[in-house]
Order: sequence, then C-alpha cells, then structure tokens
Amino acid sequence: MQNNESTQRLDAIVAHASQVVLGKQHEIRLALTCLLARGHLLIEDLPGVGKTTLAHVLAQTLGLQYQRIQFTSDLLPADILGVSIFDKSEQGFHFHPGPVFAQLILADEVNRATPKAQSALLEAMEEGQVTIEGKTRPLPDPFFVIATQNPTYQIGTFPLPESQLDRFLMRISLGYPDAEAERALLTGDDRREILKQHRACIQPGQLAELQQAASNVHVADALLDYVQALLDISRRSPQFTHGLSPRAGLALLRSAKAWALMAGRDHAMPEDVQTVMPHVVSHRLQAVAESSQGDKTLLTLLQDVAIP
Amino acid sequence: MSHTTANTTTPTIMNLRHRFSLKRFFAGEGPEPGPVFLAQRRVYILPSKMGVYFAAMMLIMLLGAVNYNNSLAYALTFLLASIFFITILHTYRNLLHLRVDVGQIPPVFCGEIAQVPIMLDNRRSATRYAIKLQLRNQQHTSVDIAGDQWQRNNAPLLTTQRGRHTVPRLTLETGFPLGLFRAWAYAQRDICYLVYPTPDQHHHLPDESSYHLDLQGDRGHGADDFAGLRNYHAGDSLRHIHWKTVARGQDMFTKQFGGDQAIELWLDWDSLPNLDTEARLSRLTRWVLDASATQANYGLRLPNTHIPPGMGPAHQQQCLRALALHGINPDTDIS
Amino acid sequence: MNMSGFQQRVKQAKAENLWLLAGLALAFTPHFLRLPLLVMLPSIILLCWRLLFELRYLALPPRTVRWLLTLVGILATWIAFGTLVGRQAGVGLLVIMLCLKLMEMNAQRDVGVVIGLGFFVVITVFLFDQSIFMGLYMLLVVTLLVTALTAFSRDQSVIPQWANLQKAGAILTQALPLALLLFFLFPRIPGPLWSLPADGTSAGTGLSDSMSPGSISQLSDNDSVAFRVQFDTPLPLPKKRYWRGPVLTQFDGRTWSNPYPQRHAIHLSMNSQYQVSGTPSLYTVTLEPHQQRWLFALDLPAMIPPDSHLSDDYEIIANQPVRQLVRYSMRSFTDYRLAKDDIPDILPYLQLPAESGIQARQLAQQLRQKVTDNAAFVQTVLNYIAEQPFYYTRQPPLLLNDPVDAFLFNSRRGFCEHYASAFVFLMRAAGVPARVVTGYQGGEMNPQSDYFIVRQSDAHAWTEVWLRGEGWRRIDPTAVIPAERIENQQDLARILPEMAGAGATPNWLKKIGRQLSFSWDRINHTWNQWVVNYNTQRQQDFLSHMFASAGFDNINWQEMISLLVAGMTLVMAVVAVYLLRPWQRQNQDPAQMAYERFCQRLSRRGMQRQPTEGPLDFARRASQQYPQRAREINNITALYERQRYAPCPTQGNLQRLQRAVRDFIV
Repeated sequence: MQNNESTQRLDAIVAHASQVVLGKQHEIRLALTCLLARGHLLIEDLPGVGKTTLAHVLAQTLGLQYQRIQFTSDLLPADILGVSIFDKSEQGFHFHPGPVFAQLILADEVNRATPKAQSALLEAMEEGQVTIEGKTRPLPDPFFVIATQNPTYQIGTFPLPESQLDRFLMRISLGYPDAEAERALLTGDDRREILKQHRACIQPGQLAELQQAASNVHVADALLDYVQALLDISRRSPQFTHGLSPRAGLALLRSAKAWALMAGRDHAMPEDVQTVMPHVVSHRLQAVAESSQGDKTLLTLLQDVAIP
Repeated sequence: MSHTTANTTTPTIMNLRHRFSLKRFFAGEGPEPGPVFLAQRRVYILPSKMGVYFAAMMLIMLLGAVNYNNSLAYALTFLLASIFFITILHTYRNLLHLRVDVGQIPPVFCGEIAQVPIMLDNRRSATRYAIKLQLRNQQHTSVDIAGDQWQRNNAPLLTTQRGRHTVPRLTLETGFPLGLFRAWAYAQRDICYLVYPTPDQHHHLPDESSYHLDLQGDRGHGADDFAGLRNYHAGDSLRHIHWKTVARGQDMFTKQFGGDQAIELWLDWDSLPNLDTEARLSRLTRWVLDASATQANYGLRLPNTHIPPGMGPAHQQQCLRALALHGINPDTDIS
Repeated sequence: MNMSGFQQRVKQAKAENLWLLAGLALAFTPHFLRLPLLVMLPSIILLCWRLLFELRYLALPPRTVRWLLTLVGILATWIAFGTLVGRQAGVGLLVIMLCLKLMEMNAQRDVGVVIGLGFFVVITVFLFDQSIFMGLYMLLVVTLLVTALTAFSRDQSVIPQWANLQKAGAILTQALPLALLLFFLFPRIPGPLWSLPADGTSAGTGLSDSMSPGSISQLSDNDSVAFRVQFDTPLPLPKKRYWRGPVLTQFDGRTWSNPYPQRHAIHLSMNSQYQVSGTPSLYTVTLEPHQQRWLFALDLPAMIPPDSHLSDDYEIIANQPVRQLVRYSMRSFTDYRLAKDDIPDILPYLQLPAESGIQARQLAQQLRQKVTDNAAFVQTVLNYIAEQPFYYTRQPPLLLNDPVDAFLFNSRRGFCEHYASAFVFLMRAAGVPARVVTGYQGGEMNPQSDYFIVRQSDAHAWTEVWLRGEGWRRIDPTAVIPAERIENQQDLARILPEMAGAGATPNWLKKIGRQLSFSWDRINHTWNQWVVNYNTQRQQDFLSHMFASAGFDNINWQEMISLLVAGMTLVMAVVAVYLLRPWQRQNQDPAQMAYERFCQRLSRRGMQRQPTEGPLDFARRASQQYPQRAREINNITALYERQRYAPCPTQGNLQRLQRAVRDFIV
C-alpha cells in the first residue's frame, strides 16, 4: 500500500468517526494512532463525554468485532477471560470464551475492579493470548483495548498500579466538546442511531497493512537524537520520581511513526514526537509532588530539550 | 537635555542597569519558571577572606624582594601573584555554565527538615569540585559533579511555618581550587512546597460524642467478610454460589460478603473551642493521622472547608492540605 | 608496623596537611644544611611530631608544653647566633615559629596561615642561594604548597589526591607566562628601602682582605666562578689580564694586610698623577657574591661603578659588601702611569716588621749595592729568582717561623703569595717602595658563548714597585720562573700565557668534560644575566632595546605598567578561552548548518526560531509572518526535512538546500 493511499484511507476513517464523535478530531486521530502503533489506549475522563461512543465508532469504521466489559468490584477474571462449564450432553467441559475474545474491547471503568480482575485483562493485553486452565488460547488479531478510568479518587476503587499503566501506549482525555459541537450534539440525532447506520471504511486485513505502513515509517538519526535527549532529560529532571524507561522510549517512537503516517509522511518529524509525547509519557511519569500544574511539568520537559 | 535622556532609557540601558544592579548581586534574579543556566552574568566572584590575606602576604613579599634586591624573591612573588590571577578563572569556571534545577518537594510537617532535590547538570568534561549548596538561611552541603554528569543532591530545608511556600533562593558557592576567591550564583525556581501543621503530641481521637455511628451496619456490599446467604439471582457470579447447599440438593444460594460497615468520624474544628488557631490545626492534624492509621472513615470540618468522610491516602492528603492552607489564600505565597 | 595499617593511616589523614608537611620539609632542607643544628633540631622534631599526629600515632602537646617549646626555640636561636635580628637568626626564628604553629594547627584558618608562612620560608632560602638549581627546587616546593592549598579548599568533598596535584600543576603551568611577564615588565624599584641589619659571620669564598702563606694556594683547586666578563672591545693581551683586587701594604712578618681600608676616596678626573694611553677596554663584570666590599677590574680602572669609590691604592670599594650577584660596566686602560712624580706618603710602602727576615735584608743590601738604580735592582732580584732553584708549586711546604727567610733560603718552593711577599720584602729592605696586589690573573673565554670566565683558581698575588720618574710598575715575580720549574701543566699555561695550549694533549674524555662544563657555565651565566641580576638598570636596557622599534626609547615605569597590563590581559584572555573551550561543539550536519543560517537570516527580521520549535512549526509561523516569502520558506523547510529526516538523503538535495538558503535574502 502506498503511503498516500494509506493516508487517504486514514483521513476517511477520521472523517467518518468525526461524524459521530463531534468536535474530537484530534482525539480520534490519537486513538487511531494508538491502534496503528499496535498499542492500547487508556481514556481518563468523566462519565458521559463520549468514551464509549468513541470506542464503538472506531470498531465500526474499522470493521472490528466489538465487546464492552463493565468493570465492577465483583468482576472476576473468569468474567473477562471465559470459563469451562461441564456440558452434560457432551459429557465434557466446554469453554465459553469471555468478552476478551474480541478485536476491540472497551474496558469501562477499569479501576472499579479488583487488582486480580484488572491483571487478567492487562496480561491478556500484554501477551496477546490468554491461558485458562492450562490451555493457551490466542486472542484475535488485531487486538485493541480501550480502557476508561474515572480520574477522581473514590472509595472502593483500585487505581491501576504504575507498572500496569505502562501497558497502555497512550493515555488521553476527551474533555467537554466545544460550543459548536455541543450544539450539534444537542440538536442532532441520537448517536446510537447514527452508529447503527455506520459502515466500515476499510476491508478486513487492510488494518494490518496500515499498521505495517506505520511501522515502516523512517526514523532519521537526528530524530533518534531528539528522542534520546527527551528520555535523558526526563531522567535528569528532579520533577519526577524516576525517568522514562526504555520501553517508554520505544512507545514514543512507535506513536510518533504512526502519527507521521496519519500526517501523510514516510518519515517522522520532531513535531510528531512533540504531539504524541504528552499522551505517551504522562501516565508513565510520576511527579515528585502533586502539583496543580500537572501537565505543565510535562511541557517543561519538551521545553528543556532543543531539537538537535 | 539630561532630563530627557533620563526619561527615555533604551532597552539596552535598561538591560545594563539590570545587569549591574546591586539587587541582583545580593538577592539574585527571583523565582524563575525553568531550570537555571548559570550564564556569565549570573556568576559573581570576589576574593575570599583568605584571598585578601594572600594578597597582603604577596605585598610583604614584594617589599622584601625590593629591599633585598633578590630576583628569585621577586620571581616567587610574581609567581604567586600569577597563581592568584589564574585562580580567578579557575574558580569562576568551576561554577560557570552549570545547569541547576530545583525539584518538587513532597509535603512535610512543620518542624521537619525537607530535603530539597537539587539537580546539577555538568555538561563539561571536567569535574566540578567542592560546590557548596545552601538554601537561604539553611545548612549547607558540599558536592562534586563529575564531568558530563548530572546528579541529584538534597539541600536541607527546615520548615518553620505551615502553608504553601516558594522554595527559598539557592546559593551555589565555590572556593575551589585554592580558596582564594569565592564565586557564587543564585538560583531560585518558582516551585512551591506544602507544609502541614505540626501534629500535636496529644494522641486521643475525639471522644464518643463526635462519633457518628452508621447504625445501618453491614449491608453486604463489601468484599471482605462473609455476611450470610441469600437466594440466587440470575447473573450472580458463579464464584459466589454456595455449592455446599447445591450439593445437598437444596436451592441455590449466593454467598454475601460485607465489610462496608464503618465508623464515620468527624474531625471538627468547633470541637476544640479552648485552643487558638494553630493549636487547633495542630490537634486536627494529629487526628487525621491517627484516624488514617486506624483505617477509620473520617471527615473534616473547618470553618470554610468541609471534607466529606472518606479514607485512603488521597483523602488524607486532601485533609492535610486543607489544614495546611487554612486561613491562607491558596493562590498566594506567604513566603 | 603493619604495612596495610600504615597505608590506611595515610589514607585517613588529612590530605592537605600531608601535602603541607611534605612541602615544608622540602622548604626547610636548605636551611637545615646551612643553619646550626641547635636551631634546626627542634624544628625537625616538631615537624616529625606533626606528621606522627596526622598519622594518629601521637597526640599534640598541651598548651603549657607549647609555650615551653616556644621559649626553648627562641633561646636556642639566641644561643646559636647571639642575636634575634639579622638574616640568619631571623630565618632560624621563622622556621622555629612555623614549626610551633604546626603544633596548634587545628582550625581552617591556621592551615591557611601555615601555607602562607611556608611561602615565606621559600623566600628566605633565596636570600642565601639564588642558583638555578635552588630556583627549580623551590618550584617543586611551591607546587607542593599549592597542592596543599588545593586539597585544603576542597571543603568536605573527597577527591583523589592525584586530581589535587594535577589541578595545582595546571594552575602553575598557566601562571608561568603571567609570572614571566610580571618578572620582566614589573617596574623594578632600586632597593633597599631601609638599611639591612648587618650580618657579620657569613663567610664567602674568594680572596680575603689579607694574605699569608697558603691563603691563595688554597684557592688553586677551586673551580668556582669568581666573576664573568663580557668585553665590548677586543680582549686585552693575555699578559695584561690582571684583575686588580685588594692592595696590601702592611706586613707583620707573616701576613700582609691593609690597615687603612678606606683611607680616602679619590677622584679620577682630578688626579694629575694618573696618566693613561692607548685605547680603553670596555667590558661588563658580573661578580659573584663574595661577602667583601671590593669589586674587581682590569688593571687599571678608569671609572668607578655606582655605589662604590676608589681608594688611593686604586682598589674599587663598594659601599656594601657584595652579598648578591652584582653587575657593573667598566672601563680600563692597560697602559697607564701612576704617581709618576711623587707619592704623597711614602712610609707605608717601606714598612717592614722589626725582627724578621734578617737574611733577606742582608741579601737585599748585597744585591742593591751591585747596581746603581732601583730599576736595575728590580731586575737583579728577578734574575735572582729565575736563576736560583725556585719552584712553583701548589703544595708549598708549611713555613712556621719567619716565612720570608724560610722561603728564600730553605724551601724555595712556593705559590704566588710566597713570591710576591718575598719580593716586596726584598724591595722594601733595599728602600724601594713596594706593595702587594692581590686579585685574579688570566681567565678563559667560554668557547660556546661570548664571555670570559674568571675562576677562584685564577686568584693571584703580584707586586707593584714605585720607581721615580716612572711611577708604580707592576712586577709579577712568579712570571720569571722558568717552565721546567713549574710543577703543574695548568699553572704553566697560566703563568706563561704565551705557552697556553702548547703542552695540552687532547684527551677526548677531558674535551667532552670541558665542553660540558662550559655549557653548564653558559647556562649559569644566562641565569645570572637574566634572572639573578635582572635589576632596574638591566630592565631599562632590555625593555628599551626590545621596544625600541615601537618608539619606546627610554621606557618609563608608566609605559612598563601599560605593557604589563596589556600583556597580562592577553595571557588571561588566552587562558580563559582555553579553560572554557567555546569551540568544543559537536560536528554538525551540513544540512543543519544551512538551515541554521536560514533561521539566522529570519531572526534578523525578528522571526526567532525557538530551540524547541520543530522546522514545520517554524515554517508555518514564519509563513504567516511573511506571506510573500511563504513559498521560499516552505521550499527550504521541505528540502531540509527531506535531507535531515527523510530516508535516503542525497548530495543533490543538500546542494539545492544550500543554494536555496544562499538565495534567501531577507
């Protein structure tokens, strides 16, 4: 697939999704970038801003099989992965696959479940397969998890531990729609109705090609220097308890490549890194002190590194 | 004419005036938003006390050399004078072009010594030796930074007042290599730190009257303790089915777990009428800590703040923060 | 003692104190060798005590003991020198006090004080010895003391000791050019500023103010340099190379001396008794310190150097004893007549001791009666010496009683002082006014350079006889001894200058030895010329000569200061640039360099690219600012992007980029 062909196709996907999720083109692009980079997405936002809709519309436009898991405190790993039940008629155990066996999974309010249930999902994400009762079962390909999480600390929630946050390639938040989009949202049709009429924009298999194209995006030495400098400064900066891991560096590079593809280039630019950087690293860095500045600390990271 | 020129100072003149202002010399630049790069205009240098003695000694030596007409005495005096001059450059260089950043400080209790992380970045291949770090009016530490290295050091900061403060000005000072000169530079970041009130020594949580017992008790919504059985409803987790009764051929029951029964404890400003403001805050701080330690479900009532009961580290931080900032406009610094 | 335990102690000791003790020990060593043991022993003990304390073997003495030690030290100095002032006693006191300070060196301040005093000790060493070796040795001491200072300024941080030494070495190396500038350009003030305390006891090598048998022959093996001479005119003939020194008139039977060293100064210009002819020799003498007051000049001096006067025996007497190398310009006439007509006071030149030389008196009477005039008598006595079996030897037999008679009639073996003494005795016994002149005779040219060396072994004694109508005539009685009666080859060459080199067999080892000794002497001479004797006058000459082309004919101190400040600024700037190394930057990609040029051009128009701003973002912003240049800006950015970030950058693309940047003129 030619690069500009890929880009056209991606633009079409974004345009399509934007008809449903209004005024969130940038976030749609980020979510798509995440998917192209074969990573998983964490959306941290308040309820009702369209997290579910975004996941749903992505699944539909990309022609992916979609499953939603609502995480609750009594959710058990088996509820996610599936369970073998004795079938009297066949005189044997029969495996009932859990919702995890889908191409795109929306893990809603992932922090409501116990760490045990969370880790079942996170392990599946990491390994691309699940092991149940000693038997390893591969997950479908592509396999893409969108997890949502309520940012406020509440009783009875289990915030994802840092080590597991690392499994998500990006963390984004949607935020409220702007006035124009909000108006369109209020006056327009029910989103669910629109979703039902939606058709996939790409053929099955084309997504894999797009992912391949993203990983083929060229990274010049100059850009590697820049990424290294960014990693370096994160390790030097006293604002964070510890710096970015090499895995974070890889994630940053993968995301930048996917973003470059979205922008129609066969090579990544410093701007691509700068765009994806806050979303890739914000959940991997922990500020030493809780600060009201929040992302401002992250921005100083970008402002401290000159582009080589 | 002079009148008009005085009024129309060009930017260059302003810069010069700023550059040579005594305020900079004595107080530094004030808080800055980013890491501080010790450029030439920020590093000051003057002879140390020992340097002055050294200069006086050289003068005496010169007199001796003149008096005895001794050429090698001249030579030694001149060699020492040259060392004196060259040391200016070495001492200045020891501090020049160092990058300094001050890190965030986790909140501390008043009276504790906070360790302020100071990041020193030496982009030069030569080691910088014996750099003294001192926060204003605090103890100092002395560090070396190897070439092409950065390192994090802690400067001690004794906290004396609750609230939110800007980290005080950091003075970097060095006398290396010969101690004849003292080069120094100021660095201050716009970084605030939170000081909680000192916890009181009084350990007793508020008496019974301020407890608000949740009389409803255990409602079987938790996950900790077994609380009984109820009839099976479709959708109940298979794991919670009481298989023993199924095995006995009885109806299916679902196990219920509880643990949400908790005491709601209110830590109330008004319950301490006999104390002054700081003492009250101090006592409340102690209570917050003790309540957290006993896993209690507690809330905090202050004159203008009302934090509903909760638990967990974030809740504790929220309460302590409210106590620290009581009576202080959270947007202004009092330092 | 366990070795590893000892190393442990060394490691744990305060580094700056160990460096300091090493430096002090080395600084003291020349004094230890020079000053009396009584003064130096307490210092050595205290130094060792401190070292043992640093290694934690010993505690420091309590306060009362320290006071006691102070008193003992002062007392020892007083006993040794009989005084507490003066150069030697002062140095002894300084060393003792410094060592006592070591006993209570605890605070930071004390270490600084002791290091400072250490530098003073170095200065005091120079008061006694300014040789090239001592200069280099003391450079080592200064290095150690500066290292101590470096270790001392380390504060609490722990640093490898080699780094201290390295740092001190670097500072010293960089300081040397500055020190050279200061040394040559700093205006020299003619000292002394106040009178120096007299120092009686110090003895120098060389001629003394008296002459007795053996006093000059003991110098015959001494190869050290007495003075060096640079001739501006051709060298005088070898037989005229008599360097006039002390003139001795009084004889007590054994020793010749001068009872009135400063009878009265005379002025050459006003003296009608003084007649010269021929061309004068012009030269400069660099005289090694000999602790006496006379200066040497070719016979006969025709001018008086500054700070000195001429006695009526034509000795040049300095106002101060020569304690340091002095350098003076001289003019001499080797053809002269002195006191042709009359001498004002003839008696001192006829004085003889009452009860000695009875036989010699008789001999003088006999010989005098054979001839008619004094001149013939002189010749007769010389013939007598030449004909009788007189030998010239470096090891004359010891003459106990009445040395004149013993020499003339018994041993007949002697060195120049014997002959001069006997000759003058015979003259006086016959009523001819005569006197002994001591000084140096001969000397040699350094073949590797342009100066003349006169050594202590060239010390000589000859005589002057006054003849009416002629004045004082120089008579060298040793010169008449025939060659076969001279025992030593070297003496042969000296006494009979015409025969120099005749009997010398060229031995290659000796030759190399001679070459080396001349080389070493040349180095020493240069050192003396440029370092030890670099004084106000020499500075003036040198700088005027150096900067003559720049219009400084007669350089004054303001000009020196200006030159000094300019030179020092330059050196400091060079060192600063070297230290900060602004050129140490990474090699840049040519594409990036071109792009940076482009950004610079835009920044001149106020369009500044932030260092963190990507090229695409910047192009967008710049295009908005300059819509009319948007096409160029985008083109350059696209070329740069392709060259720097895209796969497969090409040379052609780079050239296009460089051209586009070149054509981009704001």
